[in-house]
Amino acid sequence: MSETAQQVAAAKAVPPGDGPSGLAGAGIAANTVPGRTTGGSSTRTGIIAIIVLLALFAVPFVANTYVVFVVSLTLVYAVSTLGFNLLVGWSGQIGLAHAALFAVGAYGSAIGVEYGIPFLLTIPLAGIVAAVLALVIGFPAIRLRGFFLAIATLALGMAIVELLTMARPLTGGGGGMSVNVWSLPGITTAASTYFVVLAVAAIMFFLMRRALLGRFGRTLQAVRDLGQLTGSLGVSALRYRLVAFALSGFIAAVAGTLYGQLQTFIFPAMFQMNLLVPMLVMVFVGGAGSMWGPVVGAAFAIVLIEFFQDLGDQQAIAYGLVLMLAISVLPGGLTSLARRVGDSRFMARLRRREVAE
Amino acid sequence: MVRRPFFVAVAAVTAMFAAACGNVASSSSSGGETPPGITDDQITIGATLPLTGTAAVSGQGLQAGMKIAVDELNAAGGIGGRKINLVILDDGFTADRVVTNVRRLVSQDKVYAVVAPAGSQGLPGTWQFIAQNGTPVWGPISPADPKQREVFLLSASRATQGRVAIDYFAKQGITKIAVIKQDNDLGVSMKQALDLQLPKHPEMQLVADETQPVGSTEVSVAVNNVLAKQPEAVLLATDNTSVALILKALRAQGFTGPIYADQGGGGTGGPSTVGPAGDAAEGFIAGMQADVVSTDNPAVEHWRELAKKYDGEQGESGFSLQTYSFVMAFAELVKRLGDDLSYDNFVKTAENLRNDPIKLGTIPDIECGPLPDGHDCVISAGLAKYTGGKWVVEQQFTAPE
Amino acid sequence: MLQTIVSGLESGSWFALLGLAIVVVMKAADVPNFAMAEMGLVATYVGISLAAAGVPFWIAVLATLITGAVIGVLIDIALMRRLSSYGHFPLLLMTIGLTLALNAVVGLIWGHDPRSFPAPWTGAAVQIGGGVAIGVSQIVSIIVGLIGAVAITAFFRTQVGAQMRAVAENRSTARLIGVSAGRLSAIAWAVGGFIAAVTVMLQAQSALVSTLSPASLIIYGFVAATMGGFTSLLGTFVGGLALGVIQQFVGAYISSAVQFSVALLVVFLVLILRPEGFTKGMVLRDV
Repeated sequence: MSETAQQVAAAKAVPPGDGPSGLAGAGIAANTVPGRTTGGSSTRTGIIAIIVLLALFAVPFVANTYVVFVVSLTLVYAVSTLGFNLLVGWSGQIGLAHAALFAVGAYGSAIGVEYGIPFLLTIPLAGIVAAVLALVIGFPAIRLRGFFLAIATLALGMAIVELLTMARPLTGGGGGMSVNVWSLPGITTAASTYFVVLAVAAIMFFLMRRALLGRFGRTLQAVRDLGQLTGSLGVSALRYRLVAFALSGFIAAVAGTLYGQLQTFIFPAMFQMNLLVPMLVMVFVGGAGSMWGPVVGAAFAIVLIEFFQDLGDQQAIAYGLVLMLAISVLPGGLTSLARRVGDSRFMARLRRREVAE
Repeated sequence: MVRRPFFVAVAAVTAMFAAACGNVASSSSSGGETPPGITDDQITIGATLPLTGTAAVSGQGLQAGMKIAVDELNAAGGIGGRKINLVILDDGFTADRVVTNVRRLVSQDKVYAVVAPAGSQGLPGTWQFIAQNGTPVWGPISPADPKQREVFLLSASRATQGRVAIDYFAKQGITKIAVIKQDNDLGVSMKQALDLQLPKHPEMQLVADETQPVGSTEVSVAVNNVLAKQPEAVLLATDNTSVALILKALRAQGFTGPIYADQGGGGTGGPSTVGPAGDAAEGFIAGMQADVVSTDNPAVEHWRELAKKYDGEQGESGFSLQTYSFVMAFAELVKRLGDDLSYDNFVKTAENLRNDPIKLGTIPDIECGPLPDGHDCVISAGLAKYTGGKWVVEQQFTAPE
Repeated sequence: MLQTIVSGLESGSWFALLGLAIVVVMKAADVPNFAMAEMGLVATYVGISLAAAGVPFWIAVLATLITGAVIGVLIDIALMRRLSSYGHFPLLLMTIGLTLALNAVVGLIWGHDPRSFPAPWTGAAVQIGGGVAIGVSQIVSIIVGLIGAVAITAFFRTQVGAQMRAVAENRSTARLIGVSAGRLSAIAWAVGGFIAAVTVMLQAQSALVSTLSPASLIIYGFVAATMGGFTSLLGTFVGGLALGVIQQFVGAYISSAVQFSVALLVVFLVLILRPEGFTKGMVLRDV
């Protein structure tokens, strides 16, 4: 009860999407919209985006297959985290069926291709199937909040993975199934898969940015920050909650279809807690509710594992300890570090000077 | 002002495009050219192993065997004058890291061959990539046979071990068998074994076929169901912990017939399964891919000497003997290649082993042949029995009927 | 049939006890602790090592329980307390990070081979009519589970327990009436760690535990806690026992392959039909 009161107070004091702090008492360590931008800097953002995109486009021309693969995997996880973050960060619902919906994408695409549907078409199709499933999973959201929702969605996610195991004729059961890799003619499979991943990632980020920085994102945050008081907003709050579920499921499955292309062999045990945990880590590290956090989070999680290679037996401990340390020091995620620096007194003074000049 | 970085970027990308198109354009992998990982005085091989995570025990054993073999070979001058450079990556027993690691080995560490990689469920995710690069995969640990040009299996697969065990039970006059399996690759292998071998023993009947949830320590359901059907022998296709638990539960309820598990689940030669099972392990029968059990085999004794000196975990385990043998067999094969180390010659020479097998003494003779079935190079498995507190050979290496 | 019920009650006792540990921490500290089974595992391994080194059985048991409680307090003070103002997500993630780290530490110190904690009665069985034998360790698990449930219920009726409920209901009001929330959350974590140690120790006495076993145990613990709506002790206890028995019957009469799915179905149904748990206990918080 007191928590809710705090939330309300916080939400009243600082209009959503407007202030950097003040929302800490809300269900999620809230972040601001990084693009509180005026016209000039939004052009700059666009140019930076194009340069980043071009640099990413160049990767397969200059790097070996291993690096291309790691970057592909990072992009796939970034897309997946984009969806997870939409749910956990922007709408404030800890739904834990994300790994399972990711699996629905991977399996849906692989099965679709086996039945003669072109691969590129299976990307949106698998997404739609997962969105519908996510809606079903999200229905408990009407009655459940917080950890209860987490447990319920976790159970449903596990049930989906169990179903994939049982659907032996379609999925090969617990033994797994191999995935037909789609490839552009004339270039290597690794590069081809990479370009598909890059294109899809670019589209998803572009669309999500438009949606989240607009009215949709603001409303989501409002629904999140007002918590139970959205009763007065009525049905529409509920609708936004469910839309967040469906959209995040869609994105998870889109990422899943690409993941299948990278792995080339999938089995249900891949999509259990062992995948959900890194996914949560990515959301957290990137900062729940931030726009570019998912890329940072995915890169961190993937690259960290590659660096820990050299630690041998100790790397499992190192992973857990680094995570615990990160949460203790930066409960708002890695990207909150940048914001903290930005909000520090020193930076504030700098900014004031700029204004004065 | 705003446009300039944009054009610079475009120009840079175009330049890179022009300079490095070869990286992206697909070239059909032909085995004729000089393979990677070979210099005048060095040959690089690599593996991905579960050094951490839930399969760390086996991963450390597998690593030990490889290191022991490489040290021994290098001390004797390497393979044909080339010292072996061994790259081992950890995959933590997760499938996507197995896939990532194999790509790193091939395209960054530039290995000549992937030798004895583990990860029976992750490895199939690398077959397509391996096919594009032509890199030989010599002796992967227990995946199903992909029947692929580059991949050579050197151990009796789980299915083969299961078939040998079924033959053995049939010989003992057993007619009612029961199975407890996990719903993963272990279960798939057991099903293969049953499908192939039961028709050959028409008098034998599968009276119970139970599935044990992966990772669950709750075995009493499966055990009670099996006992209700009164089998004379039980075959297990589960991990070590489950095998140990099921052994305990079956014996606690008075079951006296033979119980079988493959080398992985039974921990043949070592304590990983029979230790936790305690008294219930008496009479337990396990598959044997490498002869880690007998004490009068000179080849095995030679390995055991070296393993005792090994500075690390699990040096004397069956896994260690297995990968030790695989690396030794790899060295032997490379010697037979002579000066032509091309992948074409590698495959050709390996497929000719059927006429002139590699005989190591520690594992059954390696006799690879041409595809489709020839790359399953070892088709016999032994059986070991745990009795009186130690492992003994119950049946020498035998091919299934 | 009887064997099925006893086996179900035995594993049900473990689920119920772990569920109780989860609920106690949830009640007082508002943390869903995914590391609960791992905490019990560390404590149990300490006990196993002591027993193997020749320490008498009952002293090893005592050491296990104390270790569990101490781990709980340490986790609360060092990690959890400072995060509570940042909302649910960092707390949830912290317990997951803790799970990974504790599991890895156990693997590094004790290895990944399964182990047991032999009790004087391990392996002994009581013959009942009709050729049915019931293991003494099964009976011990069931009885300890019962005692645990009664003891915890009694604990929540003491003054400290009442304060704990007050804190759970309303933190700021509790502070006004002079209750130290910090002390209470430390007590709750100690109690939680203690029960977790009991649970895993019982499991190690009649079956085997390893770095693999906590993963499935914790899920069943959460299922039990869900059945009690995360607040009702009675609901959690009965729910855990029921879950164990249901699983055994599903395995025996339908298929052992769907046992896990049935547990998940139970969670879903309970949450959809009765979010407050299937026994209407004291609803402490408006969640």
